Amino acid sequence: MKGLLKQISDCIVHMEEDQIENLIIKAVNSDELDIENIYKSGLNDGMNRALELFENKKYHLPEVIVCADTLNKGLEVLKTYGKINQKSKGKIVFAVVKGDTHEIGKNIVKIMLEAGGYEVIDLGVNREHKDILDIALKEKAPVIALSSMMTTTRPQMKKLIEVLDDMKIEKRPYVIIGGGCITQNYATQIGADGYSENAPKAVKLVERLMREGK
Amino acid sequence: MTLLEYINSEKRGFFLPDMGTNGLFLTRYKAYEVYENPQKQLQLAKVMDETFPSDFIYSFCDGIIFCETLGLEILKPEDDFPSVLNHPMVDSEALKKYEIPDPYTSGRMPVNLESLSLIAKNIDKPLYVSIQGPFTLAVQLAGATQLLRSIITNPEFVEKLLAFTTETVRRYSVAVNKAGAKYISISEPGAVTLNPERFNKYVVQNVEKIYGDLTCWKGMHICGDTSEILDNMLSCSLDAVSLDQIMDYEKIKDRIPKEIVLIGNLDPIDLLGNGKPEDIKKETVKLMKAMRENDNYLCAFGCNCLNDTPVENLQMAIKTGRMSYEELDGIKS
Repeated sequence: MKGLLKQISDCIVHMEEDQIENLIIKAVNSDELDIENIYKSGLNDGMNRALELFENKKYHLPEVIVCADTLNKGLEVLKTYGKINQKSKGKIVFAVVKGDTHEIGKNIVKIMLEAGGYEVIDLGVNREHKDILDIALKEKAPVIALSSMMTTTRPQMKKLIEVLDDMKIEKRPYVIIGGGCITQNYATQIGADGYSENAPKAVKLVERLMREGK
Repeated sequence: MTLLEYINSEKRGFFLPDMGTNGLFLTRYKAYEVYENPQKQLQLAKVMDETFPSDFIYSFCDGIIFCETLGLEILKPEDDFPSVLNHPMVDSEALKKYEIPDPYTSGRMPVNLESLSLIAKNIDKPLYVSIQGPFTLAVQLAGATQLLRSIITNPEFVEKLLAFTTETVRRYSVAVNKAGAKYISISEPGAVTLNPERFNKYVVQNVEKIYGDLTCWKGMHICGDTSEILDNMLSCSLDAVSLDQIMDYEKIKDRIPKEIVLIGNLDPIDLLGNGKPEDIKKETVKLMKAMRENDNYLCAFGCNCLNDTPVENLQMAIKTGRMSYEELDGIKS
């Protein structure tokens, strides 16, 4: 049945969204495959292969998005057969700050984080810093990821960090930032725990923070 | 006179500012007070020209004009640029509900044209106007993720949408040109998401339809790392190209044809937004010296400056960028 897992993986890479459902059903109905294995060696393997193609510049953003769509469709089908017991590496609350409605950077990073095994709570765009904090603390998320593409809205990031620091929480979530107008200097200046200039580096940053701390 | 001839008409550097909403703080006007009132647009332009004397004049940037005219939901801060809140043109069926605006009758477009005409007639400098490009407009209308997805899953829709946005931008750009704009820069930051092949298909072909109908200086600006698409940008029929502050001009200047002006690229965030005047002078001199032998260089910011950039910082950058070559050559590196 390894061939079936390979077919699922290939289906992701080849962006065959119309075929993924049948493949998942076939795999689930096979007595030799369990849900976790279908996810790990089929769906997630395919997405990781797609991201490798992206990093090697053989795939570009459109391909990554459609691969992720195929993955998500497969996940929807798979979850109807039972809970996937794949342990998340951690929760990340992700938002574009108040006044900014640019979504693409956040969406790409989210795709990569999820492929990397993280649970991403996507709050969308134009979010108040207080709302972001409230949800992050309620979810006990170890990381808050913020995006701002506009020079005029990035001060919202600073506000969030100031409020968070004033709370003096024992296990304070890490705050990482990115976006077109964000620099390492700015991240340092406002007390962010990390900065990433692109999506693949964002995943590596999260991994490092979760493993080693700041 | 070509843009290249203009920037070489005196033995000094020339400067093109790319302002944020700084003018609002100087005049205490709210954004839409300016957008909706040609006289206030003119007043703001005069204040900016007096406070930050440069080699061009410009209106308060209106990157939202297309989306607002088409009826998209708009976030309208008082002291900042507006932005779209929704992206309704997700497929061909949705696109059918929209008509290409007429720049002389639709929304605020006629008011904008009146404002530009007023500025052009009252301030004796080349009028610079930045206009959203067709691909970036498509990103706004469909949403970036949906547009990029559709490139794979629904290419017919993408072509229809881009035909719509290209004609929308073309009509308005022609009207802006006629209103007195001397330099029109098509701004395509959304296009940085494309690889070179798709950039040719979705940007170059469409921007050329716009450039072909303009009689003014023509430019293009794209934010981000444009290394891979720079040659594609340069294949357009343009007079100038403007690149982000992350691009190393010493490395790329030799890629720019002699007849195309390279505009940029002082860091508007770390340098202008957070630096000190003395540091700004030092970095601007450094850039000017690096580009000294290139007569097709025009000093500018890498992108919009921060709204709260200190006045003295902007003044120092512009003053230094316009330094005489005699003075510049006299400064030891």
